[in-house]
Amino acid sequence: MVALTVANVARSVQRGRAPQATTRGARFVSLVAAVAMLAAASTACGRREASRPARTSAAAAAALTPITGAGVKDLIAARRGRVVLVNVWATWCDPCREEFPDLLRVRRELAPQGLDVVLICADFASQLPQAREFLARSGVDFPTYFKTEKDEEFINALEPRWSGALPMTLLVARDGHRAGFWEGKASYQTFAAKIRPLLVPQN
Amino acid sequence: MVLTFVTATSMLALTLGDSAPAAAVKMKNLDGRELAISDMAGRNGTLVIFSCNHCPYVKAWEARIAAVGNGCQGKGIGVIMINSNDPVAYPEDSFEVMQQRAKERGFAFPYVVDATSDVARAFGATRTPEVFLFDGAGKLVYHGVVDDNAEHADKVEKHYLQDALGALVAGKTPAVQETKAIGCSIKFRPKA
Repeated sequence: MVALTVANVARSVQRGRAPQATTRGARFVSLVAAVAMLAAASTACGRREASRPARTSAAAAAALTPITGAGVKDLIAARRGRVVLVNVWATWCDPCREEFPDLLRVRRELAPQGLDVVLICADFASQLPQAREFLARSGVDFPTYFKTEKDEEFINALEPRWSGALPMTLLVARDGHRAGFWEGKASYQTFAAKIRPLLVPQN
Repeated sequence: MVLTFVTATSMLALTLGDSAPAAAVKMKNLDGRELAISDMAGRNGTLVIFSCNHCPYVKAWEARIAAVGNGCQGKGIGVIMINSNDPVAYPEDSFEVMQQRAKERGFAFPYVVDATSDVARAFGATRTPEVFLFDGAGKLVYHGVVDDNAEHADKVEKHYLQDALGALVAGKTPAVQETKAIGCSIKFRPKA
């Protein structure tokens, strides 16, 4: 049971998503999963990493994975059945940093009901150390991504309505349809109001 | 509601063939003169650049913008760069910093203050830098970015703006007329 759960967690982590409980009332499983995930993380980091301050291990967990626009679409497709909130941000973008806590709050509160939050950093490659530092400081301990493709291809692949201004947030419903699009900063209330109706359990 | 707003904004954005809106609105130039877009119109065309001082994408492109803008002299293409950002929100976008920046970068064209941000609103401009190029008849023939690589000038493969300007001078329609890039959102002043 535990071994299976660990395997599931490992796969989930590999796919860059939070592990899901497959049955109702699976809190215990979730707890085991969380413990397993922590164990896996500390094993991955090694003993020396584990003994470092929390900030460093958060930075390690918040590793940025390269992604293209097509990659984002694949990632969304692979999460069919979940509600997905995709946010493109950059460290130099003040409104992005301002809305970041709201995005994390949305994830914290609504992930258990079926929401995945996909954060994509659009910083220049030379700024990635600052991006990692920001993620760590914000307490991001889940996998996030950074854009490796040229802007135009990336923008058009993600959302043709997007002019390129940051931040940009895209909401994808369980059936894959685009349920929301924000160019510019939005708030927890705005995101949550749009997301909650999409999380109603499907029959 | 936000979706509606975005849609409304998109509807306001200029499309190819449109004339420059708010072309007669006077804006304060670095030398204190009041200039309008129409004052800068050239016989072969007019280049309108929405920019600012603080944005890293602007900074990355600034030397190339200066080179392209300065290169328009003698080609019958007028150039005007507009800062629509609210310096209250972003002190680096103040008039004084505009003056410093123009000096450092050697802008040989006007850099003016859109004091209400309404010129940017009229264009449907959303980010910095964002360029609009009008032909000699005043019709929009190119809208978008400077080139395809903000980060690395030496790795640019497509010189969109330069190519569009070349086409205009040659009396042709640019091969690529609309492009996009990531950029800083324009920090609009609150509406009066």
